[in-house]
Amino acid sequence: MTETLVADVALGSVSADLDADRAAADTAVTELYSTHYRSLVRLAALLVRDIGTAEEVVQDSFVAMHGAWRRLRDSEKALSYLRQSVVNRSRSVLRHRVVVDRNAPKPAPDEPSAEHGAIALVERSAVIEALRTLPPRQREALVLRFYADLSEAQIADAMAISRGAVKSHTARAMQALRTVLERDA
Amino acid sequence: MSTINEREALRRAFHLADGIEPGADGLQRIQARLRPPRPLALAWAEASWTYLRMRIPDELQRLWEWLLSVTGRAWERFGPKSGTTGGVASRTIGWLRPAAVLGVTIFVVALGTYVAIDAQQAINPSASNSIHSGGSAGVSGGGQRNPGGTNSQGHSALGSTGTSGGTGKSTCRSSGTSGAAGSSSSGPAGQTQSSSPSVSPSDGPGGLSPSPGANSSSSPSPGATTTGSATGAGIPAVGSSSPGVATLPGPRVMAGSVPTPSPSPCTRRTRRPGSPAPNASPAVFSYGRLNDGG
Repeated sequence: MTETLVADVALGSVSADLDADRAAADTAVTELYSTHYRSLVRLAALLVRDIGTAEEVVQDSFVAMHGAWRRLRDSEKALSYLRQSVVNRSRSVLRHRVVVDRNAPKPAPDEPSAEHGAIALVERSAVIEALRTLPPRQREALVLRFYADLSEAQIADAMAISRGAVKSHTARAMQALRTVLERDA
Repeated sequence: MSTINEREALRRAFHLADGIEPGADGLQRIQARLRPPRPLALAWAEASWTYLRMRIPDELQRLWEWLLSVTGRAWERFGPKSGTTGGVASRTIGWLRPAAVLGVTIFVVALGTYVAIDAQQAINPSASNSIHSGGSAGVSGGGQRNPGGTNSQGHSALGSTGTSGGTGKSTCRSSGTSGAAGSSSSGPAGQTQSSSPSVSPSDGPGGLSPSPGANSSSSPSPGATTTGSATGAGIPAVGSSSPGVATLPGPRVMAGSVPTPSPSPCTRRTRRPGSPAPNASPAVFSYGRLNDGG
């Protein structure tokens, strides 16, 4: 009888903990959305070159962060988790896009939208155009460093690489970019 | 290009992306994906409802067109001929055809309905019994229905005995059970003496044991009329009349006629083996008298 009561109390406390965690995760999602959603979408847009896909990537990252809230329990960790998730998912999108573009026929050109205009403005930049020629890791390192203004440690955390690798990727990316821009000029 | 200039150029180029504005429904989409999935049955129900909602207008349209075509064909087949020339009489005759078709249709529908109801009663007779007896078992001793109620021994308690004067007598009075049909008799002249023709045999213990001579009818005074209609229901046929004196139910007896023993079960059961049987059917007699009188 006592064991049953203890089990019931334990189950009740576990259920209460789950409810509290869920409520805290919901709150964290709302707060992080209001403060970082736009910048994360823009970061993803720079990586995947498509606003709709960027939004989906960021929303997937928020959902994943909500599920991992019990492990995070901190806004800073959650933001780091979000960045890492966005970078990883953007990389997956690009990898998947390569396969799709290789096999799928060319779609009919659609009417350009306002979003397309915004991304087209970005695409018209010679620097961004040169950025497309870089390998994904170098591109990620540059975007995280010069758009998100992250430190080497944060970039290392977001890309799940070491700080030395961040330095190396950044330096090689800058050299390649310089070469491309000088050649085009 | 110096390193600082390169970095500034990169920053400026990247910050062109600040013009990108994501959709405003991002949080709603995230929250929608965070909700637990709907139950499968609900999803199926919603999908089915959507499918039906899309199909119902088409089906209604098809049904309406079918009705129109059937009606049009029936009108062409049975309607009055428009080419008929003539006066009012011929036009009236032209309408006889659709009227006849309509009448036949109504007759067929009514017949079908009647047959269907009858078949239902034949299939489930208990339901029909309960319908007729108001839910209670209304079958009395001889299998007759007893709309007034149920006697525990199956004897009918139909009718009542009303006596007025001193000559009104109850009929088929039994000692234990009231198995006789209720009758009301009125003795004095000019008063109505009525008895119910729905007589049910009483087989109960101590049933009918009147005295030998008392099973004959009473001697109504001239002008007394015995009718075959029941007056009242549900009251046991125990009257204030003296036992053994019975007013026979059955045919109407006109004034001046000599009533003869009725072939009702009461009198038949009380007749002794040696006693003479009634020589004529009361109905025949009565009707003969009626005819004679009329």
